[in-house]
Amino acid sequence: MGLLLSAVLTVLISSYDRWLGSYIFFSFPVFLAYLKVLGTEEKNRNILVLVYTVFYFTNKYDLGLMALLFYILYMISDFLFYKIENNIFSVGIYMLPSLVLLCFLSNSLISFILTVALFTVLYFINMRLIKNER
Amino acid sequence: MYRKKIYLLNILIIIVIVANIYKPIENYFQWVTFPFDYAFSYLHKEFLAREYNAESLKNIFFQIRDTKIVVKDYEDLKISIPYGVIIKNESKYITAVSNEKTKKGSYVTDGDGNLIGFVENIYSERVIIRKLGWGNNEIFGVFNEKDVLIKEYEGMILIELPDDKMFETDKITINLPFYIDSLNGFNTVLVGNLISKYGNFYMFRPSDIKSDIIYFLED
Repeated sequence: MGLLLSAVLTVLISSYDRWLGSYIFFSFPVFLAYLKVLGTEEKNRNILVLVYTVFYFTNKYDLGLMALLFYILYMISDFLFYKIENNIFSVGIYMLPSLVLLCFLSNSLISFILTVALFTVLYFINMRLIKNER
Repeated sequence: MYRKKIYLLNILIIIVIVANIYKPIENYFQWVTFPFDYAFSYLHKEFLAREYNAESLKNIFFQIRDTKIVVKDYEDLKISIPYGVIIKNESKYITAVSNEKTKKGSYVTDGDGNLIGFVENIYSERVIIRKLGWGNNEIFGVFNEKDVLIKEYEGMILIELPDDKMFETDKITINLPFYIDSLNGFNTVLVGNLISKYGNFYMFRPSDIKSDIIYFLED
């Protein structure tokens, strides 16, 4: 049930990124950061990223090599950085490859800056409090 | 440990291969995101409208400065053809706003009668147009009073031209009499350059869209 709800949330995020992502900010990297901070199971994490990849790339571009590259980049960053203890740098590096690829494909520097700014604000306001339960 | 990831990557590869073999399967994914697309496309339109208004104001001033105003005879324009304005021109899709409700699969032409693409999806007045070349259609046109086959293949437009004709210029125009010619009496045409040869076909790149106003023609 939780997986189904978060899959619907992922579809919503992919639709948002398709229309408004390259103008305001991409919400998927922030979502990835939440997945790392909340400590989601590995299986659920992979399924959610798969759902996002399929829906975002079919609707905006074309389901092809770039979609595969996106998923493989996620796999590599997940393999390298997931086990490191949560702090702002490790969570930031964890979400960085997918953010860079998304911004590179849509040629938008402004959404890169805004996403990093939003992530920094959200990390200190929200994510750290969830983790420490204060 | 990471065997599960490889397993899901295999599923993704299978999805990609199936979607590339049979292209229209991508349309089924759009049904899932439809309610969210409906909401966010409205926000997208509102977001782009400000930028577009500023640009169009500049264009109008530019046009007024260049052209003289001449009084002409009244021409009978067909108002019943639904028309629209391009708000975003991307690599594969064009987003436009139309005045009436259009039908799926109707042809989209320029003000001069250039064929641009086909209507892929409609969210109220927001219309998504698939550019020519990204579909699976095969069209017949007329060039130098001979029939030519126009084929779409993964973003390319391939044309089968008669071999005995030699071309002095790269720029060619192809008439499409198969379609409706009711747009102010003009035929629907395709104008563009030949880039290279691809098997028996020639690769064709259509010229850029100059005006922002487009028309939706139904068959």
